[in-house]
Amino acid sequence: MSDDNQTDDDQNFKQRLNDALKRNNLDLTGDEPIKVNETESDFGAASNGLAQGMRLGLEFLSGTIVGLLIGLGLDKYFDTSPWCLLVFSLLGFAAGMLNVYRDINQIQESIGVNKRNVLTERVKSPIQQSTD
Amino acid sequence: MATNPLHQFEIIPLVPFKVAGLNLAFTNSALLMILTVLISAALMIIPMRRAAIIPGRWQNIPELFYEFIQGLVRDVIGPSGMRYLPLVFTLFMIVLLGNLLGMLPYSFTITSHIIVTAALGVGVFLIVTVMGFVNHGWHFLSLFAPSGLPKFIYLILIPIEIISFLSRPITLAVRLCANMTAGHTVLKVFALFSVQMGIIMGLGPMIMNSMIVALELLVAVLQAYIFTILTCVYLKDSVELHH
Repeated sequence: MSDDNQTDDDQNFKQRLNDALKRNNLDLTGDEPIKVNETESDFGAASNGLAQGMRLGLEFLSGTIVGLLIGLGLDKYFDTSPWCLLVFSLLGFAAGMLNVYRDINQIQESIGVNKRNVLTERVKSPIQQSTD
Repeated sequence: MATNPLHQFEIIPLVPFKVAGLNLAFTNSALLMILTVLISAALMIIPMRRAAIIPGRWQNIPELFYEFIQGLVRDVIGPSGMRYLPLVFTLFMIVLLGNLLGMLPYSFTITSHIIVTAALGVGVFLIVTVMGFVNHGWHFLSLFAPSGLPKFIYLILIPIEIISFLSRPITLAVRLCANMTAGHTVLKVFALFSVQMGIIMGLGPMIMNSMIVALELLVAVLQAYIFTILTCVYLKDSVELHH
């Protein structure tokens, strides 16, 4: 009897789950991808625009400043002014660029540009078929 | 009257105290730091005294924070990063409460001082470096030299990678500090507009200010989140090489 009750509850639950999913335009059986990390990407999206720009600018600046400081320090220590400063400020510039590049990759991943999702696969496949 | 928008960042000694020429006064900054620690500890300990399987209203607070940070650590560092959870959790709570307590009127924002955020940032940096060497030994240095490149590239790439690595604490510290300082200064500037424009005209800046307060609350939470997630990203290097 308890078994019977359970399957009944199960059916009831599935029915309610499906109803709830349909109400929220989510269909488990359909091919619509279910958005799992919606809240997190929303949180990230809130920081859009200005905040992201500031972030990238800062990444670039910090790399350059560290390179500059290392160059100045080495020049003072070895008394080779201005050669170390010249070399290390260039390296710092490159490091800043590297920071920015890594940050952009990270941002894109959080938006989902680099992720292979169902949608892009679906768009890609006909093209690939035609070129094959 | 404080007409200087930067007046709010001044450190005021509450209990003057000097030892051998060192100024060890108990300041408003120290008071807020102690409050931050006490409130975050109280938020965790008091609701969990009578922990139930089905959480009550109060028990939801620590569980919400805990599960959020736990998920973050598991997603970013991976399952092996769970031993950093206490560190990451503590950092998050301190930065979050430091930011939020600064939003109270007449209070002081500890995270608006670069020495505070720099101490946090350098702390994270040192932990990453030390734990990297503990976990991987000298092999940790391969972080600076990605494999599979022509030999002469390393001559340029290794210094660049090292500089990039050294710039991490600066980015961490400056980002948090600049965001908090900038927001709070803007609040004060708009408040001054209100004061100077009189009661009727001053309503405009006041409405604007109330919206900026909402924005600042978002920034306070967001910056704590960003600080935490970047800490996790950096800690990941000390757990697994070859990202």
